[in-house]
Order: sequence, then C-alpha cells, then structure tokens
Amino acid sequence: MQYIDPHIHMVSRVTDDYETLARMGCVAVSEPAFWAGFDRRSVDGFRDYFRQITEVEPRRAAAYGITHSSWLCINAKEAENVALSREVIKAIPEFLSASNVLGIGEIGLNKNTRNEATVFLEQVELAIRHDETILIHTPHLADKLRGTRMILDMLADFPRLDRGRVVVDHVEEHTIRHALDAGYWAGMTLYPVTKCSPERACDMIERYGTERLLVNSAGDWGPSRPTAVPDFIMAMRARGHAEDLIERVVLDNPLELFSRCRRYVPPARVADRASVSRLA
Amino acid sequence: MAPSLSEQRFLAIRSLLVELAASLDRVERHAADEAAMLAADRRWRLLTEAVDRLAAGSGRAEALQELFSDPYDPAWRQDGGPALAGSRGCCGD
Repeated sequence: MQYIDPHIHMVSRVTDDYETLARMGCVAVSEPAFWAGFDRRSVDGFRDYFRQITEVEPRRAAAYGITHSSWLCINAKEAENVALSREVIKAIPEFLSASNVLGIGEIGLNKNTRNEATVFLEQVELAIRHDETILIHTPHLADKLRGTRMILDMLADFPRLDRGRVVVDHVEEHTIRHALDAGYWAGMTLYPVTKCSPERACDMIERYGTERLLVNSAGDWGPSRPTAVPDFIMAMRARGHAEDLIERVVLDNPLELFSRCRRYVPPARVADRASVSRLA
Repeated sequence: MAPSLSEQRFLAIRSLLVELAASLDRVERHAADEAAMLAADRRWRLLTEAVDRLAAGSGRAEALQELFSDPYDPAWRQDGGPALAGSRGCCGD
C-alpha cells in the first residue's frame, strides 16, 4: 500500500532508511523542524538546518522516489532563549517561498513554561501573517494533557486561524477528543514506549473515525521506528479493516492536509487521488 | 472486523496482564527492606491506583492517561502560566 509519513525527522536517519521506506510503499514524507539534540547557538545555525531540510533531505529522498517536504520553526525546547527565538522567527520567511515547505512547525510546548508559550504565540502569528499551515508538538507524559489544553486555549484567541490547516500532533486517548472537537487535525505518533502504539492508534480510528486523523512515526535520533506507519497498516489489516479505509488514513488524509498549503505539489504517483483533486 | 476476543487476542492480553503482575511483584520484592518508602512513593501509588482502575468499565485507556496527567487549570494564564518540571520525550526532546 502506498502511504505518506507526515512526521519524520530524516536528518537523523541513515540513507538505508529511505530505501526501506520506499520498499514499504512510502511515497512522501514531511519533516518538521525539531531539536537537534543540542541547543543551537546562533540564528545562522538554524539557517543551515533549514537549508538541510529544504535542500539536502529532498535530494536524498528523491534518490529513492520519495517526495520530501518540511515545516520550519524554532522548537519549544530551544524557546527558553527568547532573544534567539525571535531572531529565528525573523529569518524563517527567507525560506517560506520554497515549494517543498508546508508551513510552520513543529511549534508547541514541551515543559509548558511561560517562555515556550511566548515563542509559540509569536510563531502562530507568523503563520497567520504568511498564510501558512501549522504543525503543533504537544508535550509528553504527565505534561501532555495540560500542555495540549494550554495550546488549545492559546489558539482559541486567534479568530482568523483556519483550524482545518492546523495539526495538533502526538495526541493520545486523553487529548484526541480535545483537538478534534475544536476542529483541528490530530496526529498519532507511533513510538516504542511513550506516545501511541499501532494497536492503540487502531483503537482511536475505530472510536473517532478517519476524518482529520493522521498517523506518523516521528522517527528521529532517539528510540523510534521509521517503519511505524506500515506497522499501523498491518495492525489495521489484522483487524479486518478495509483497504480503502486504511488508505484514507495513511495516504488521502496527509494529501488532503498538505494540499491546504498553497505551494504544495503532490507526488506524481498519487496526484490523481480524490483528496487532491477535490481541493485543487 | 476480527472476532472481538479471538484466541490470539486473548493470549496477547493474558501476556500483558501476567507481565504487569510480574513487574509489580518485582518492584515489591526488590523493595522488601523499604516497604514503607515504596508505599509512600507517589509513582507506586499511581501504579496501584491504575491497576484498580483496570477493573472499571469502558474508557480504561483514557482514564489511565488522565490519572497519569498533571492537572489542568483553565485559569492558567492569569498568573502568566506555570513553569513545570518537564518529562523526557520524543522528537529528540
């Protein structure tokens, strides 16, 4: 089955992973900007990173027939340095005209601090100013419910925000309803220990349906499985779910979301999918 | 849809429950000389409360997730927002 992984950090993965993803049916990936494992010390460090995810990774992916897109931001973990964050926010528009940039992300909260909230809000304003789609990171473990509710509280203050162009990512059983009820997309991240398992993602599809739901691997430099989306496909099949329902989640939904970015050009192999033509 | 409780699913859940039981036994056994300390450990109390909640009706996963969550205060912005201790996490965070 062809599929898209809408959240994966390929800068952290080896080239063999691109080959494995291609063999599994992956036609496209999108890569949100994230924390590199260390705090970057200057705005030029971010410029180099943005070049990596808008120029280098797309070339690496293309060698295996995979279309690579990205989202740009300063992540919550580095947002404690508000002065640097503001320099980065000022630099982001330099990269927004690239055809493979989908929007602003993954912005959000990590420890639910005041500075994180400040930088989050300024990046939401940036997205609205430039008419960009948004991908939002929600915190982990005990912080998740509170952080997700705080994020939704802050977004509610933006009446101009098109909620159908915003993804609240890393939802779990206790946060998915909040995101969907408010009109946002919701992403389920399939992780080995924290976050969500393929089986629990299937449970949530069965409970909430397929509308505005995504599954992703968030494969990165920590323990993670870049092939988590195929794991989800297998789990859905094992339960007897129809192929077109599974495809709706792993291919049509990401295409529908990405198509809400005005620059988005779908991969030629799936350009005829109904979700794309419906929005064209 | 597959049968609601196939033999395969029964065995998978049985395995998870036995693993859970063994994990709790292990913690207690290793804490044999410090039982009072374990009983006072907030995390241990959370785990045992979670086990109790497993016996409740549907919505168990959501109930457990909420049990393991910090409380949310709708008035959080009134004092400029909380500064909390974070958790280890994903996305390289």
